[in-house]
Amino acid sequence: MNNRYNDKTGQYKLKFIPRNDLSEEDFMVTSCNENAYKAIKLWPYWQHFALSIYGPKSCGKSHLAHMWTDLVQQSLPRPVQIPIMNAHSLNMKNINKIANEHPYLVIEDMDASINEEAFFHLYNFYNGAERYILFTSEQALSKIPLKLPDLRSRLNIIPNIEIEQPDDEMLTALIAKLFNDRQIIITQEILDYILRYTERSFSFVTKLVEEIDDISWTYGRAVSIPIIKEALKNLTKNQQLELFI
Amino acid sequence: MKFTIERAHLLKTLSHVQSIVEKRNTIPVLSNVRIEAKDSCINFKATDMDIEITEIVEAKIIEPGATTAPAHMLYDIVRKLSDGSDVEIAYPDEKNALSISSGRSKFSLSTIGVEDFPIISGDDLPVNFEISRDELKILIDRTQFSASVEEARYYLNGLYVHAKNEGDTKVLRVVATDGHRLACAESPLPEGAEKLEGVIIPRKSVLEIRKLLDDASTETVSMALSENKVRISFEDITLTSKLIDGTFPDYERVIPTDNDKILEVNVKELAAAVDRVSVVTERSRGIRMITDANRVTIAASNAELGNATEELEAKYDKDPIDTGYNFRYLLDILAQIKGDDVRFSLSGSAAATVINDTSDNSAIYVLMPMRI
Repeated sequence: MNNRYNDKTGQYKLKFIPRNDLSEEDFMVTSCNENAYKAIKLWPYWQHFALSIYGPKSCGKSHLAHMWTDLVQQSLPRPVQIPIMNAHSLNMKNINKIANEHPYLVIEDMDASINEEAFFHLYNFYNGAERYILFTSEQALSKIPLKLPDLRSRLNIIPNIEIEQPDDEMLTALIAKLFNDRQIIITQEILDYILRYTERSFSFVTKLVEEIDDISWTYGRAVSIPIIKEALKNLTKNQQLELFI
Repeated sequence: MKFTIERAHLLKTLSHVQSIVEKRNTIPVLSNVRIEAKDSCINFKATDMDIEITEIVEAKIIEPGATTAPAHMLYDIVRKLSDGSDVEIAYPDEKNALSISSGRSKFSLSTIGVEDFPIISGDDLPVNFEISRDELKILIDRTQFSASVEEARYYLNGLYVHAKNEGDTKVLRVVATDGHRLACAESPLPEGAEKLEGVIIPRKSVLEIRKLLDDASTETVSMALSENKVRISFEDITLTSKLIDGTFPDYERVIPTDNDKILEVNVKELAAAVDRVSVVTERSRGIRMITDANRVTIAASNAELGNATEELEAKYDKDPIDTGYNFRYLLDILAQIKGDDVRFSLSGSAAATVINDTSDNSAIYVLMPMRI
């Protein structure tokens, strides 16, 4: 999102990054993500050395990944670094160093454009050696169209747990969390209004709260129904534009 | 309760304590000052439930006791009494009220019992240190004007104070922002403040502390902090305030570190030019600052009124930049630059500008531009 200015005064504002609480206390469990939550909490009694959590954008995969690293840290006699890496940053040059230095690893955003050879070695290195990997992605690992048959067959063995699109209970909790992360106090009326008119997806709700916050911050106004209407209008307009691009 | 006190002492004390009493209160006792005569001293106390101030002053006590009386009215009465006179205060008088007598003047004020007066101090505050009064004044002056007054962003309605390691040196850093500008000032970390994690001291408390510091004659003041309270004390004054229960944003991320277009200009000349040119801005408050080789031009225009420009000599050797600023924000910052020259670190007309004193690195300011 570009830094917008107040079109009445022309004043730009500093762009602060909202906090993002990734502790377990801040993770909401409802029917849409219950299986993924339980699977994370099951560690170290996983059936396999690896687990894959997949689901739509902004559904809380990274939050679960942080919770898993906390869980692992708590079980260790002394803290170790557990990298949370983007799948695209793994290649044949760094695979050896990463694998040797880190018995626990989170790899996010798995998709078809990963370095397959590096991942093939990664799999073999971690398999059966008291080492663990948590994968996250938008689609199940078994559905990612990879070229290397040996890698495909290996990733097919990894248990895949889905986070589904949000139910109403999750949407309510998510909206509350996103405003809470921004230290914005909202009324029940505002929450109900957003619930009534928002698109029912994790990513849309996340973008909507971001847009509401941005308008409120830029114009120095408390969050209100007119601001929500404006944010919904802006996002819908952008979506329509995207269709034409 | 009955005592006699010099009017000047009483007036000074009341000016301090009445200042935190709100003009309107839903709880009647909060409009009152608590007065207790005990052990040859009078203890004055006032609170708005977020701040509590206590000041002890010597007096000739005839009879110990305590009550509460309307703070603003008592102050107004004492203010109008003759300079150099003595004041006798007694409670209860024949009407069960507080009587104030001085010379031929006599007043009677209604009271509320001390048992209804709330006390917010008394907790043990674990972080304790002494800080130079002048250092604290400077830290407040350099930052408080940037604090937000927007209630929806309550976590910006104060000064963020924390201990910070800057390489090998430890500093006490104070930060304030309203989103349009950010002020960040620091001083050497006082002994005992090492464990000071970030706290946000409310703006009203900061302004009260600042007023009290002007009347302080001691060189150092004591500060004590916990997770939810701050206490400042010196001489016979103690101010305790609740802290803002919020998280200050990660301010360091919005301070640009790679602005490479550096403008240096005499601060007094610049402030005077901005002040003159701003006359034609009227409501918009927008002025333009146009940098060019070794000069800077301050300009403003108003479609209905006219325009103004003023050119100044400056050190600048990069591509020209034309940036708009709210002149009031700029003047607020320039007023805090005490050296001869001010440095602007720029990157573009819509990007944050970093401003600091060329001869002093202990404070920096970030100013967001205006689109003009």
